[in-house]
Amino acid sequence: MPGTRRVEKRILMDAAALDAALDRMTEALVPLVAGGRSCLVGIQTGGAHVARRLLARMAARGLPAPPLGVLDITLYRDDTFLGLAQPVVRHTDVPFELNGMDVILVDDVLYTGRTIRAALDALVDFGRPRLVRLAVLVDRGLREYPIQADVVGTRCETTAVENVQVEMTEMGNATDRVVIYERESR
Amino acid sequence: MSSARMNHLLGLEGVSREQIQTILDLGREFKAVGQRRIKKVPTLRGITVVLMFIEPSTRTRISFEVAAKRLSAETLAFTASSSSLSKGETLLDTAQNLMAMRPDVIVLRHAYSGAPHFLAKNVHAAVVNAGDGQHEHPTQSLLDMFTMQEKKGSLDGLEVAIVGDIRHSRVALSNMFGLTTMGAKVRVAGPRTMLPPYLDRLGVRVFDRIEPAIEGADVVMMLRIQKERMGKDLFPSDREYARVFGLDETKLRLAKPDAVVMHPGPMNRGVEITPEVADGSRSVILEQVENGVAVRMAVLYLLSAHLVEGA
Amino acid sequence: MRTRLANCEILDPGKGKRFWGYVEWEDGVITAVKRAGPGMVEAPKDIEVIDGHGHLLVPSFVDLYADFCEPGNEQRENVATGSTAAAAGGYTTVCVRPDTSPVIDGADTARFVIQQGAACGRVEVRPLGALSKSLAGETMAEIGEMADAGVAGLSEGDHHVAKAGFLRRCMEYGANFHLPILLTSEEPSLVAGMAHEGYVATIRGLKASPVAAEETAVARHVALCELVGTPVHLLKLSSAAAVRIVRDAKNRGVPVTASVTAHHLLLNEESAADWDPNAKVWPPCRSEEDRKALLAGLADGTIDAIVSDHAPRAIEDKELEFDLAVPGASTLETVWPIVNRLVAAEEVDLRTAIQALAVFPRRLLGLPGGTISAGAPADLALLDRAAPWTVGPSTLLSRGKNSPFLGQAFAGRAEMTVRGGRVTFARSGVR
Repeated sequence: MPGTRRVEKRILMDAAALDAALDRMTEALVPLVAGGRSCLVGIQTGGAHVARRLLARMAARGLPAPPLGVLDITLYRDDTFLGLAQPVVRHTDVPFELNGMDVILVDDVLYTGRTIRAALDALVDFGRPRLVRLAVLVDRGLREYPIQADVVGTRCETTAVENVQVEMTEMGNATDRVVIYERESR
Repeated sequence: MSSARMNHLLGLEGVSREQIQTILDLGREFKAVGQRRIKKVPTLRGITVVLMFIEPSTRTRISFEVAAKRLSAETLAFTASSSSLSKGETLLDTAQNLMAMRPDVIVLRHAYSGAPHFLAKNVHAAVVNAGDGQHEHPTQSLLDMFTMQEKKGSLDGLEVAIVGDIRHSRVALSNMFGLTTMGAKVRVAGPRTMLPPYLDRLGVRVFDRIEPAIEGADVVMMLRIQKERMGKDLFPSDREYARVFGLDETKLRLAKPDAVVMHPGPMNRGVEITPEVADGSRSVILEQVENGVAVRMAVLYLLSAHLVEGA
Repeated sequence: MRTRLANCEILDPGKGKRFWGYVEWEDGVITAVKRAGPGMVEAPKDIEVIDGHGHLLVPSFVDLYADFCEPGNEQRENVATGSTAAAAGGYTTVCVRPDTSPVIDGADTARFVIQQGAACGRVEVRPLGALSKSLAGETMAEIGEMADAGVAGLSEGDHHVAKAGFLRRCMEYGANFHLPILLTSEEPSLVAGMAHEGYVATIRGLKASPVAAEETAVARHVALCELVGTPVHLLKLSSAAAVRIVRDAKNRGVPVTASVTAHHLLLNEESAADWDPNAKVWPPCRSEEDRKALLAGLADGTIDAIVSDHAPRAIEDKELEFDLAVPGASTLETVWPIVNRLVAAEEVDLRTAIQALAVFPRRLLGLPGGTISAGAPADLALLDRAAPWTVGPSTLLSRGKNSPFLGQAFAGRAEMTVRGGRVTFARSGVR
């Protein structure tokens, strides 16, 4: 963004801590997906990566993996054109019938709740789930909408000038970690 | 992140490869939206799109209207013939009247070249050229390129033959600009009476006969022969045109075995294309129509993004 | 009373040399031309002195082809507004086109236009009489009566005479009255539209007219001129092909002469590239090679005159799609600025240009003058060559604001015009 730059403030989770958080989430998800009529829907792009990690862990435990969908919420955002940059539309792929499903919506960071609001709008355009749960790797607080997660990897206190970034190797990062950056006005 | 900033879409002349690719990529996502049960997204709520068609074209108007509605934009259709408009009222008068409706985007189809450019200079709205005279028809070319990319993977090095009335075809001109920008190799063929001068400067190869033009082609695009051009010394008869310049299954065998056949519509079956080819397995003509909605959604999305940012 | 225009750089195109000095006249006739250093404005008490401020002084311009739109289209221009624009461009005589409404095809209309011009008095307005009644190309107009009424020449305006045989008869009959015949040249069956058929028209989807449309018509006109043996002037050539035909005809002794507009010397097909209706002129500005050939034709004497082809148009004629806009440009006030720019760019020789603007047109029409010497009429134009100004609705005095140069800056324009010893135009600050 013009006029501002980002500085690394602190590391919220290193690779080991992230691994442990994903384990805890998997643990918590097992009973939620036990019914068989369930699926994971990851929000592009961070949530989709977290969802794939969770599915891999379930498979490693020999559990039947629920189907995975990915959802891009750009076309449903309430601030599509308010940002400075042109919002990039990413791929949406929900390759199964959503009607009557238990949907576990997965995102990397839960912040204002607006993304989840948009995701719920997008989701119902694909069908009518029986219920929707929310799983997030990081809940950083500062909610603006009445939305809460059912499964949380870790919680932390942040301020509005901070930016919580989940970095994973499949996104091209050298190592897995969660970093808190701070925006500085120049 | 913003790779395809556009104020207007007036033509493909001068539009970069990166910008075209952005529109085509975006078109893929919008095509997926159109294939859902609920084919509508709320993205352009509150945006007003005026469909100003000063030359009748039901197909293009409906395609834009569907595109705008799938993005939740408001649409206003304004249809008139240029003959009734040109009596006393100038194009500027018309444009200023339209501005009273405060449109964000004006989609203009017009019988005369340059009319969208005139409008763009004189109104405060994004202008999309939906075909101007014998100049350009950029969204048609974008949907053609979208279809080619979908069928062939990449446009780079693709051999595309465009056959027919090149001189009076805005589809041909936009495609010559767009395809050469994207690295495709364009060949054109048609009666010399329907070829404009200096095509070589556009980087296309010109053939007198259809056969060498479609030999080894990946894509064969047939252009519509306007009925009103017949009997105006441009070619002797539609019978001869069909025989010499029309596409039939025998001629199509000269193209690559997996070549696709395209036509911007509406077709004159039996003149520039035989029904067997038009309805045959190589024809992607109906897919072009579906893809048209997708790329027009992409164009409206990109233009609207600019409008709100610029506000 | 004697008047002296002092402190100017005098160029008499017939003599060629430029020198500093002053010109004196009395009763409309030049009485003295003297050398004097720059800045010399002192004179005896009984002489009225005008300071020329070091500007260029030349014989006033004579235009062979302009449209004053009267009678019939006074919303575009009338004889008075056109005369004002002409005087502001350095002109003292203007020949106006016959394709008015009604057509100038008889003595009455011709007299009416002459009288309108005389009433305004800024320039001598001389109609060109039509060759055919109503410009229909079928029946000969009353050429003899128009000659007696004072038409300057005969012309079918921007209309094409379809029948070569009819044109031949008109040329023969016109010769009886020693009237020059001025023809525009375009074979209409080759024309699809009013852009030059070339690369720009191809990529901008413009309906176009090929060089051959002009070329075939020029060749026909040259052949008829040779056949009849009376002078024919070919107006506003636009192509290298037309220049070549005229050059060849002149070399063979055919009594043909030719002109070009100032804007065709400056602009090429690119001027229509953005569909600017104000750049829609007829014939179209063609390729850069054509423009270069027109410059060469002017330099070697193939082209004799520079005409304005002044064609003022109303807003409703121009705020339109390119194909629908009425062709024509308001040009009388930009001819000298264009020529001056071309001189500065060393594309045109100054003396050649003044000959084409002031000397040849007088010769064609049989008018005296075209020289700055004692005994010649005091018809003079004082031209600035440097001061910047911008073409715009407020800087053009013509009612037609349809200039292809709107918003463009030029250096220099006509500062003062003297006709028969009377100042018919002076830009504020000069006097």
